[in-house]
Amino acid sequence: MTPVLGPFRVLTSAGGLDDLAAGIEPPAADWEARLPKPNSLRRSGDEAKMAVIAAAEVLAEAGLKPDERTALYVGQQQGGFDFCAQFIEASVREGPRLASPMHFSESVANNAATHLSLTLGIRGSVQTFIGTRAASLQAVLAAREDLENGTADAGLVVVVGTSTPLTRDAYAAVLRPRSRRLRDPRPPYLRGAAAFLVRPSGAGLRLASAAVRCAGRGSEARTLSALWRDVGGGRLLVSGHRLKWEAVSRAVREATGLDAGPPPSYGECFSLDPVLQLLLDARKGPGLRTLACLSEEGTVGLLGAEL
Amino acid sequence: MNPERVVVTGWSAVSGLGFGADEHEAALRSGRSAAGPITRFPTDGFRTSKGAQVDGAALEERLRRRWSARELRGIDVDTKLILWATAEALEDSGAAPSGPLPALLGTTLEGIWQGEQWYLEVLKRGGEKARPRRLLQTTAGGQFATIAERTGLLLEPLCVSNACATGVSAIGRLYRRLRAGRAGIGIAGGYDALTRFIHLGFDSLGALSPARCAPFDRARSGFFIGDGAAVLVMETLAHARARGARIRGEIAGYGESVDSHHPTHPDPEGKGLARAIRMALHSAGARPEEVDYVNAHGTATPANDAAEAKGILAGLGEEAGRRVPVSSTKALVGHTLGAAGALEQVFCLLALERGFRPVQAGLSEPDPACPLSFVRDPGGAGPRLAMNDSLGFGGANGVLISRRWEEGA
Repeated sequence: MTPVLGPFRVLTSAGGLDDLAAGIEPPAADWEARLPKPNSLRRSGDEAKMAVIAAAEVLAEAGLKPDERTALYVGQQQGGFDFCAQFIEASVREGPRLASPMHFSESVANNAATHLSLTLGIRGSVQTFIGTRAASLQAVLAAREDLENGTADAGLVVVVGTSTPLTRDAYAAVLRPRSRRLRDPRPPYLRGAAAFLVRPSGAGLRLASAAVRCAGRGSEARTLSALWRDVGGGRLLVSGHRLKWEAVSRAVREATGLDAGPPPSYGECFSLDPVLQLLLDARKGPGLRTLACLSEEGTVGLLGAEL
Repeated sequence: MNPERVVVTGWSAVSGLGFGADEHEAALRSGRSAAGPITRFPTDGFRTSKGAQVDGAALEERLRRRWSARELRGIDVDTKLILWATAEALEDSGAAPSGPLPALLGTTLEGIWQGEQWYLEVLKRGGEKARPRRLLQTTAGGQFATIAERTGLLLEPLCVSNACATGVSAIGRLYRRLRAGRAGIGIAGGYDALTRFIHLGFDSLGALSPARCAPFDRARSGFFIGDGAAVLVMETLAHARARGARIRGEIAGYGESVDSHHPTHPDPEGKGLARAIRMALHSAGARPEEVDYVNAHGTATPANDAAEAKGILAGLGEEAGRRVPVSSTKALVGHTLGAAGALEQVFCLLALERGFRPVQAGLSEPDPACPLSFVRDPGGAGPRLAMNDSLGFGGANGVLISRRWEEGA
């Protein structure tokens, strides 16, 4: 089976796909007003709202009413650390019994999946995959697997990219410690969500290949080399943390002989980045493109798609 | 194409009860609880300070049998649990995988112990002085990388996070992959550690009990949190036979569903769980009356246990549902979150292999709203077909059916 990816929706703190492609930052969006059920996510972060809106719009465009044969796959590198932090801070500053349970429940890793399934009425398989930039690739792989198994007729994949000022500073301090002394500008960060369907047939990007591996830190070039030999091809796209771009580029060149090029001009958005790169590249026209994803902690993934 | 049969050829379990099969069996038969005072972090001002911590010194000693102190430096308790469990399960199976090994491991918290310690440092000393490397060790991807580095394995990693149904979800996904013939062998399981954040988090929801953990009891008032990790080595029967592996049990079926009811409470009618049970029985080719042991989710919260009882009765049918012996082992190990479903699956396999049923500890007066039959005596004829169900935040339901292995089957 060669599954098809599409339709797509992308919503970010810097606009949709058109805005990202044009490098334009639109005025701040009122996510609340676009939610399918007003006030349903009033205590949630913007990323959860963007995820629900994007998913609802994709389902509407596809004319798909979710049933028990519609599965949901959420991929996100980082969970709700901002809510964790708020809960921890309140427990320290106000006392261990006064931290808000709302902050705790919003911090749970499958929180986005919960809001999606409640708002959209999804009652089939709901899975959340976390912990790596390649979570979006893992979500696509899981959807393909379930379509081939016959346990789902369609997969709704939602990818969330999130970060907080604290985590951004931590990444900057660890991945590029010299920046503190050189005062290099830190990369902008982008928060957002992308949603798309994975189906056995239809219009969209044809999934040509996908694989994710982990051999540990420092093994990225060797791991990527083996994957590229097996499933690589077409135009190369690369996803990796902006602050590690030199190391990422070196690993890509060593593994494929190809140049990674510069990082995308929009902000760092972790597990959302592979999807944004694929979609923006798809605008350039037909052909095969393969995205190589080198996550900060050592996981390596490849996803090939053809228009 | 005929689906492959999926068998278990190795497992590991670590919890507040101890390490491995013998230590856990003794407690599962006697009903000994691992609950005790929390010593990992200060609990001044907490409403309850009860938890089930793994014996840290014993964990360290077991890790040092495989790795040097230098190799273990900087690895915290949550990563140590899953590192030990992964290596132990593979050793138990005798497998030495050469190609990419599917590794479906679940966690609800990833490395939050590190993340929490980092943020407490931020609050105390300011962001500039907190050690940011701690935060980067929070991600599950980093934990998988540590496993790959210390074991020398090339992993095909997947970190599943479906709240308290995580462990069952991870095992269920690998079951389906093997059943479809997409791989010959893989590992699946779950892990999580008791941390200040998770303890206070569940306490803020009113889910922790200052008294005993008494699933399905009329006076039940919640659970305690426990450390845990469990990993299964699963193979297709053909793959296991080809390498002459010892077979410990069979994963016969899996079902899953979502309630779509509430962010943290299950559907009070248990309809989603019933659907998952029926799906699992169908994939196992089993009839409800064949199930002769149920390891329930049984968190001892008023909402969960009543809803779960309804789900079990609806899924198995009234007659079979009321008759089948049921126990929740959370009364013994606590709620181990991402590890729960995996640990409870090991308990099911242990019960099937060694011919006993884990007792329902903590039960004085069963709640009439939970009209099930509870295991009081571990002995008698051992079970042949066990059901393990887990329910999670967001209404996630996962059900595994496992069968006692008999040669010639």
